[in-house]
Amino acid sequence: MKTIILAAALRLFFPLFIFFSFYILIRGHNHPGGGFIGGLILAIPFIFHVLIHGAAETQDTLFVKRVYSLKRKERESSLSYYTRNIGYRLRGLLPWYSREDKDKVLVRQFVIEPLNVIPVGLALSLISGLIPLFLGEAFLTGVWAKAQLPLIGKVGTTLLFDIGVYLLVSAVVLKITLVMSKE
Amino acid sequence: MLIAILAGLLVAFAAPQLYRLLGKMIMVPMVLLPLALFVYFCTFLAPVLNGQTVVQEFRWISSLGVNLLFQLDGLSLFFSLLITSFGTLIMAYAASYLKGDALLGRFYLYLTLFMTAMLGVVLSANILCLLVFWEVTSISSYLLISYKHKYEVARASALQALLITNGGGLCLMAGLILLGTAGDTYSIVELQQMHSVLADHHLYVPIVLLVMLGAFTKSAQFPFHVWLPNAMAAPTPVSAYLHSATMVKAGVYLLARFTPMLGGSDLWNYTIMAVGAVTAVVGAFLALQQLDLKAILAYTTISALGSLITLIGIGSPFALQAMLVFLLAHALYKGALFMIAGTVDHATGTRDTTKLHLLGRRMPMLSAAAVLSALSMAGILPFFGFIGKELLYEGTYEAPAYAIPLTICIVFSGVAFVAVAIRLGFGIFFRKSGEPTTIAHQPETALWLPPLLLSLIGLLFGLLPGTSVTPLLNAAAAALIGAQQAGLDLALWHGFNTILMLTLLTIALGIAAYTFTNVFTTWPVHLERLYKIGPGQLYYGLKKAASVGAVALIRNVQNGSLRSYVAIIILTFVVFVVAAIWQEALFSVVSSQTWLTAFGDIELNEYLLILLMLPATIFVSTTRSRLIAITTMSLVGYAIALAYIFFGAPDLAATQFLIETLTAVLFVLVLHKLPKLSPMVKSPKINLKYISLSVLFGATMSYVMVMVRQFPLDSELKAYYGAASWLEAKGRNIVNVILVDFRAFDTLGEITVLAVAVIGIFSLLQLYPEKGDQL
Repeated sequence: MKTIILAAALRLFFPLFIFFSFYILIRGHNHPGGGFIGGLILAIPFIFHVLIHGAAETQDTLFVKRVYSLKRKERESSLSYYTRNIGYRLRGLLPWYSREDKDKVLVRQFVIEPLNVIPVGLALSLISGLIPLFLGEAFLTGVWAKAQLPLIGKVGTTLLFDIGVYLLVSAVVLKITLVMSKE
Repeated sequence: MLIAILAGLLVAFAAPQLYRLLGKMIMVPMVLLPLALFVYFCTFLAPVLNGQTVVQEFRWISSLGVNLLFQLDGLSLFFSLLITSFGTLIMAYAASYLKGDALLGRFYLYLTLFMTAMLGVVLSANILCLLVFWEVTSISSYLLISYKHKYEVARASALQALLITNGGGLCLMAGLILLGTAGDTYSIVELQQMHSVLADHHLYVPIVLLVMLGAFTKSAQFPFHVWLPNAMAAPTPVSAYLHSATMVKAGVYLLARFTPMLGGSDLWNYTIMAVGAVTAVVGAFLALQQLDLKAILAYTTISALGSLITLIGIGSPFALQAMLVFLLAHALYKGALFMIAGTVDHATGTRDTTKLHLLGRRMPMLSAAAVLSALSMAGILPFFGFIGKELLYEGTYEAPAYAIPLTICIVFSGVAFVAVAIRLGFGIFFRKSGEPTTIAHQPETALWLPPLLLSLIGLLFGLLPGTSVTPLLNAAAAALIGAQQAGLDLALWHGFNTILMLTLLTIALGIAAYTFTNVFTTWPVHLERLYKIGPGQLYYGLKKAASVGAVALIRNVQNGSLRSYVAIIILTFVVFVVAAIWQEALFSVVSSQTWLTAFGDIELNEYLLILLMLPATIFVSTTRSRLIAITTMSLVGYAIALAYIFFGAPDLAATQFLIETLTAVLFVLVLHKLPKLSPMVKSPKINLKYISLSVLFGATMSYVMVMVRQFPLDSELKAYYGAASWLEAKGRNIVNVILVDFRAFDTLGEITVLAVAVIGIFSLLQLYPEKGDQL
């Protein structure tokens, strides 16, 4: 299902979806929303990406972060090599800059696996329940910070709990999608 | 104490990553953890020895009486120190024993998890928490036994241990719940003061029997002992730790801990006494027949556990004190001997006693450790094993009932101990029986130092019992007996009395048994027929019967037809609902008048929803295209979401919209893989069956809906949540506040289920080892 229009639209909407999902997560305490819905929304752009590009490509482009370095020239001094590299990295931050350098080498590769995000989400929710335990309250009692954060408002363990749900739900949906589309 | 448990869990789950980061240096943090815990528990020595009990409570589910309640009295402290000190030595030993093993990180994960669970068992003062930790010890020991999972023997043995100990664990669970019901509390502290209430309770007999089953399976009592020798398939550090010093002692601990609340009755005393004595004899007898080093040790462990249980069964204050002393003595020498057996295996590549000769000169330090701990095991002056054995004999000899048969049983096991000790301390190291066995490589320091330390401690405790361990043992015994002070006084010399005669007799008979070892080891050929009906065969028979039964059941019930599953579920539901309505005589609640009013106040937009859904449902049952079926089903889903909006539930509506969309997308993803949709209805007969079922279900649900509307909805919940969600949880969205605050425990359970479901889906769809897929 490789349609150019959908692919182009998705590129535009991708950050929007992610931002919106986070917005939904944060507003959940006072208005309709919350971790569960936010997590579902977070998964949607990824699912569309899978629909358009296929599971293998989605995993390759969205879940793998590759860090490149320039190849070291012969008899190049360390100073010049590192400055060249830093310049290369900085240029990489510019969205219009093409990274098709021929003499780059892969130095690091970070892979995010949804199956590993699930326990992280679960752990966050569990930790939010353990925090009050150390303050002498019952498990999962909401504990609230005195100070307020800009934009988010009051911060408490319930937010942490919700973030755990948010991560877990999106990872669950994503994992199911990836597995299903591969089979 | 919660900190100790959490630190253990944290380090346990970090172990695989630590191994990746630190390589072989992983030994450092893993040894430091039990050492730190040991020091931590030592800080409690002063108050506990003064007779205080340190209690820490963390509220968990207070409304159900389930709290994280930790208690550190003499008994808990005694066991905690035992667990952590042995843990330190074993962790160091394991690093050398499994050097270079690719899965060492995982091994440390299991071992640390086990240690933490064991600490949890002895610290918990809430019986449900105790049960949780108890089960974790079973599971982690299962993982440890099956550590060499490529070998079928390891897997089968691990499963056997799991089935037997967990079967007992289930009994224990039932027993503890009954106990909680009988005493109306789950706190051990409170239950201990209710001895008379519990003893007269009509649930006393089932409670005692179920608790005993749990303890007996864990502590490998006859006839549940079969798993312990098989569990020797585990790496030796595991055997040394779990199967000599800790896990198998959990059953002993449990019985000891429950003696003040359940003990004292004839049922309790005689059952435990009989089972213990039989186990002591059977274990000793079988130990004499073995040729494998670890098997010999495993059977003597069974025998020792039997002796410990016997002492608990006798139940007199003196017997309970003797139990603690013998337990410590046994842990010291048996842990050391297991490690020695492992080192011998490591260095020579065999554990067969007939192939091991004259190792003494080649491995001097190891043989020194072996001699010291063997002397302790045989109960020779001045080792701690001597004191333990003296008290053991005295405890049984002075038992209030059946003293003579009990003493005969215990002396018999003592004879076997002496024979085995000579075999281990002298036979394979110094006896000139053949060519010296070749040693592949000299053992590293960490392979002989821990056992040597343990045996030296055994000697130290024997020489200075008064100043070294008596205070702690006294405090532990005091907790068991329920007195302020136990008045335990350990000394090496008790004078010339009957007990000393018995000891001398034991040694003489033991030496005789050692000289006739051949007779015992060739016996099994003649006993084969007897073993065919033994508990081991019983286990395999039961297991086979269970799998045959399961296959038969699945063939008949789980026949793979999704339609019949749904039909069964719906039918069951309808039957229960109708039965409930019938019983409460609710048939007259809904009259024809109410039906009219029920339909009367439907508004126009709601009719539109019906107009949307009704054709869709009819259409979906006639279509043959999966795509159309899914889209029309989504239509129904969206209509429901619309209904949520009409009735003012935007959260539910949003969730419904999203889920509906995602389900449709997911279905589309797998759609082209599925076979063509078969027509819903094959023959008119089936047609009639399913139509009538659907109509029945629809009618029941409609009736329930209309009926529910007849009852006024003046629940206080609405008002309560409306007010409390802002005041207490600081949120205006009631739905979300309920999810993340008031009922967060439910949500936590739900997301856990979600995570488990994904792992299930993943392993169902993804794991095809034959394809060569990597996980």
